[in-house]
Amino acid sequence: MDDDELVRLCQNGDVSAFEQLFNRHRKRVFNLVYRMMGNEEDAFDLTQEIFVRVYTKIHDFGFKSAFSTWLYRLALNMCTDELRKRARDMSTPVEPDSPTISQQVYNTNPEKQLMAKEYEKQIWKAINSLKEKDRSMIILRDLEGLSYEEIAKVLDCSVGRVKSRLHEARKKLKSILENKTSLWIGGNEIEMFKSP
Amino acid sequence: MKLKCSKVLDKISAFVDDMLSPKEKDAFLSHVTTCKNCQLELEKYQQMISIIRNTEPIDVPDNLWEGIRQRLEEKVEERSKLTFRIPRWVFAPAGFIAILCAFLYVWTVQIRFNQETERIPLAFYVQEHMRSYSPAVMLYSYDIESARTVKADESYRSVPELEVLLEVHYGNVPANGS
Repeated sequence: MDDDELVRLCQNGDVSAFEQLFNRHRKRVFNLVYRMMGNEEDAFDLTQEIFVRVYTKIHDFGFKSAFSTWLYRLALNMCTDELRKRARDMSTPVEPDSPTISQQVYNTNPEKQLMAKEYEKQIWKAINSLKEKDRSMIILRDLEGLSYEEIAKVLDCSVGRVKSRLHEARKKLKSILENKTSLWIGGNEIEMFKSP
Repeated sequence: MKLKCSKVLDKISAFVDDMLSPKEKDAFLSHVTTCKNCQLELEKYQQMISIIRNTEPIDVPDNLWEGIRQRLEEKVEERSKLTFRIPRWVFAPAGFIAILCAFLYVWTVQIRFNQETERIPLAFYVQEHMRSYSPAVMLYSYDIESARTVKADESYRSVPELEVLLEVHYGNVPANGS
């Protein structure tokens, strides 16, 4: 059964169809929220809120786009709202959790694992320091693997706009990494992540 | 087509995502193979993006659905209570009654207005009710003589809105005897 059929069932009040939709999309939504918020506790609470909102708003879904696009837009908007609310409240930002180690690193020796872990940590720390709009571009494209067209639909803008915004976001990220870490010095670190 | 370094740097992101046209891609690659600085920049981007793309997704906590289910049940319960308190069939007659009441109110106000205007000078009436009736109602059938009489009265209070209306419709209205 595809997403649209499940959505139709949900619109008729079928909670088990909603559970199927949840199971299908939970991992990507949870990871998106986790990367936007920077820690698991917030990701847990906000993902719950997002899916409750999805259920209550499911009647608004008009099948004009893919359900996943609609879901991503809603999730991203709720993350952005939450981050802005926190910025307004001037609350102390929550220290991001330690990021996971990338798959390729498991194939390398312990010394390189440690370096890779540190490298990845630096990158995600830098991503978390970006503004929401830049952060969301990098997360949608590079972590979630959405195409430019899909991102354009989620953000309701043109593909050209996605192209320029993504470039700007990556440029800012690279600049932060160059200023705050010594990871770019020499060529060894670069080789380390190349596929074996 | 030869590209400058600045143009190449602007296209790095699109190149990494394979979003350049074949022509742009050729020009980009021919520059990068000969320019060490741009080559290094490209490697930095590729390195950075590769790490992000290879970040392991984190596992979803097992009890995530449990919390959602609980909150959905609460919502369903709330909705059913609300439905019980206000049955849907009530909305149509309630709307009809509300419209009827509004119509009756307007109608009685109109009758009262007509009755009152028969007894008192119209301009005086207009001044007294300046703030409770719309300008359209105020202008309804009042006459210039009454306005003059009222303006000559010692107790007359000048109301800017009335003055403007009088002037618009009758020109300058001098008080009787002035």
